[in-house]
Amino acid sequence: MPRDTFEKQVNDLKKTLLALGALTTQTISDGTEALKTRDRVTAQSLIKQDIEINRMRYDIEERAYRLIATQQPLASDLREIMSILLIAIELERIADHSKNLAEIVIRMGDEPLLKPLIDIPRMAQLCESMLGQALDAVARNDSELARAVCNRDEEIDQLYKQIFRELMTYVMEDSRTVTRALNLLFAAHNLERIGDRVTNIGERVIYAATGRLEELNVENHQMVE
Amino acid sequence: MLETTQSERLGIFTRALSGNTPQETSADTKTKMRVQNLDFYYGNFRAIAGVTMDIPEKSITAIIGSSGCGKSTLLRTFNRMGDLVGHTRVRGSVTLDGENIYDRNVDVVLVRRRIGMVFQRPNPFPKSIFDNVAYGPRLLGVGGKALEQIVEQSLRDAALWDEVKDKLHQSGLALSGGQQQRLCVARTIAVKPEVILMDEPCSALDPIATYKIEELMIQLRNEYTIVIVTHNMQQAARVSGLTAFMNMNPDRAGVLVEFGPTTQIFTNPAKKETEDYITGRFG
Amino acid sequence: MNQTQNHPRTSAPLLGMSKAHFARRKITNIVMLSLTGAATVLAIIPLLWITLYVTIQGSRFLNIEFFTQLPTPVGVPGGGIVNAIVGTGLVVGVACVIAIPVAIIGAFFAADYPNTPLGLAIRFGTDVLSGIPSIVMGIFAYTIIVLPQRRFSAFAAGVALAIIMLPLVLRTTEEMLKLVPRGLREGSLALGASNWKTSVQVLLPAALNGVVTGIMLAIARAAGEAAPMLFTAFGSTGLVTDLNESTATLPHTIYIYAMSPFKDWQEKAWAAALVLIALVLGLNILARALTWWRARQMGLNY
Repeated sequence: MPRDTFEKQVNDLKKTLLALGALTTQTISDGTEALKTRDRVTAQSLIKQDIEINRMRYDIEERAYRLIATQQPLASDLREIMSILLIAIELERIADHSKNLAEIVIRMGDEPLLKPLIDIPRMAQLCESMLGQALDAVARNDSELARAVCNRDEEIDQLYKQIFRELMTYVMEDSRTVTRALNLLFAAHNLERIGDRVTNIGERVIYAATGRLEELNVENHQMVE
Repeated sequence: MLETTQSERLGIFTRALSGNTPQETSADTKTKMRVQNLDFYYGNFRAIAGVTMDIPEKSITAIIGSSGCGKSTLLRTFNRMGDLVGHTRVRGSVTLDGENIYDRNVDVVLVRRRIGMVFQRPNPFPKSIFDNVAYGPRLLGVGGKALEQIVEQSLRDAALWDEVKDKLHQSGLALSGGQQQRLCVARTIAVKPEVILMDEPCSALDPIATYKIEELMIQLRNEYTIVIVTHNMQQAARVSGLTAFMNMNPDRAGVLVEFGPTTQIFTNPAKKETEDYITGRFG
Repeated sequence: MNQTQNHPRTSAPLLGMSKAHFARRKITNIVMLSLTGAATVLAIIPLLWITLYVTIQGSRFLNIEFFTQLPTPVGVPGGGIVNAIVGTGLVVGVACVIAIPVAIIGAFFAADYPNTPLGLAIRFGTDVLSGIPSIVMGIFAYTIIVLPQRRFSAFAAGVALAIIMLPLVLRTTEEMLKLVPRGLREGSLALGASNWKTSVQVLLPAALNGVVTGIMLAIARAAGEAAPMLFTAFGSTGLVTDLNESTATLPHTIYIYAMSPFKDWQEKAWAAALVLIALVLGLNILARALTWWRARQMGLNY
């Protein structure tokens, strides 16, 4: 093949992306676990790990720029490299959301939780599983799988609304719980954002595979182009 | 200038929302040249097989493809330059504004006056810069003050005037390669053709000269229909509105594989053959 | 990748070569260089010899009178060959006027349509024509012009020389036209120029250097022809400017003088030979200078 070197570079880049993805997936469960067990040590290490994740993202970004500048990728190559670049950014943001969970743990200190965590771990689990699937879709360039993953975002949104309503009842009953309720709401909000970002990853996979720019999970699944 | 007022910025946003981007080839553009079921033979060898394409007016259409796939041959059938080689034969038709240029009663000289050509290697005549540009108009009997005006205007349109205005009577061959090619463009537009065919016009030029020619093409697009054959895919991507991809079929005849909007060809081609060529995974 | 392993690199050390090997290579080089040099010298010896000999022999008898006076009878000192110089100019001029236009137009046709029957005929015909001995051209002109008119004439001599020049000019012009880059021709045609305009306005100027060289060679050849002159120009002792009169020419004069038993005529033959050589050489230099100047005007040579 005339472009073996180039192809190898793109594959290596993709492998790095998937490694970043694995690391990011881990941060979701670590963050949630730290929240559940109030484990400030884990929380601290998560915050430290974020530096590593950011570094990886810049590495991917730089390599993608270099490929674009030196290889002038076109058609599916162009779409793939652009998708890798954008997915790396989404992954790094997801890790930031996990870091936010860790920061909540540290901020709360020894203050007891408002209520036992039920829906938040479910949300987290859903996020983790969706991200795992989305990464599979990335690896296999599978637009169908990507579409299926994105459809699950609705479940996350539903859970978020449910948590919101539940926390509101606590606050209405006793306004002194407001700080503790907001802490949990903030945690849930971060998980909800992770779901949205996984959807973005799915959109990138679909673009890389088919060349179509679609915005998923808008009310009527409207096509942008 | 990137300084804009709030209302200008809003205007840009509104236009973007309504999907009205300027300079894109739209569906209602008039077809200038229509190629139908075109076959071209050198003796018994079929070099082009069954090409059909519509070339829209006042736009740049690029033809890309690997070496020897017949893209230059195809281009040369558009102004009957292929006739110059002996034992050639054409089947099918090429029409200019609805008239078949291969009709028995068509004067080939008139065809070439309306469809000009710029070649791969700059080929100024061994004459002065002025005489090079004046050559075409003089054939039409233009002289005197009118001729001087045409020469100046053509050189201006070819973005060469400022570089040569003080040495119009020096030889065209004393110019640099890029200047020579712009001189050839000036020479071509001096006879005001409707279509300009460009056969790999930048293949002998350095990058800066190449960008100058490309910039020139984009300027000329407003008044001329341009068809360019290029080896340089990036060049096709930069300048053209439509791109045609040609390839060889198993009989070694050139066929048109895909023809469509340049953006689509370069980001999401419909045919795998095109994809393989564009991404450099050919063969 | 694997091929490189099967085909190892020699990587001989640069300074480790054996002395004998090195010496042999050096000697071979010197021998070959000497051989080519010797051959070159051998080739220019006749040229230098002839030129020098004629110059030495001829210059002794050259003076102003030789260029301005008519010939004197045997034994009478002084006198010149002005009649032969003018006569040669006259005859060659006629030949050029007839041969050059025909040759150039024919060359265009042969170059433009090389594989047509007429194109092939032109090429074949000129090849045959250039192989015919010049004396035959003389007899031909004698038969078709001198005999019907019942007089020798400069015109008949011009026709004979024109036939000699024609194939030379035609073939060199044709070759020069073929050397003009195809792009120039296409560039002109693409501007809507006809074949004819393209030939005259683009191809001929581009090929002009070569064409002029061809013409010069043909003139040199024609001006030196003595044999056809015997049947056509015939010779004359007076100064002739009328094309219908017989006239003296340089080669003919050289022939007559050199063949004569008289010492002073033989000496004049050397001088006349020198004039002929100088004339041809001068014309050549002039033409080269003109085309060089023109090429410089146009920037570059094609």
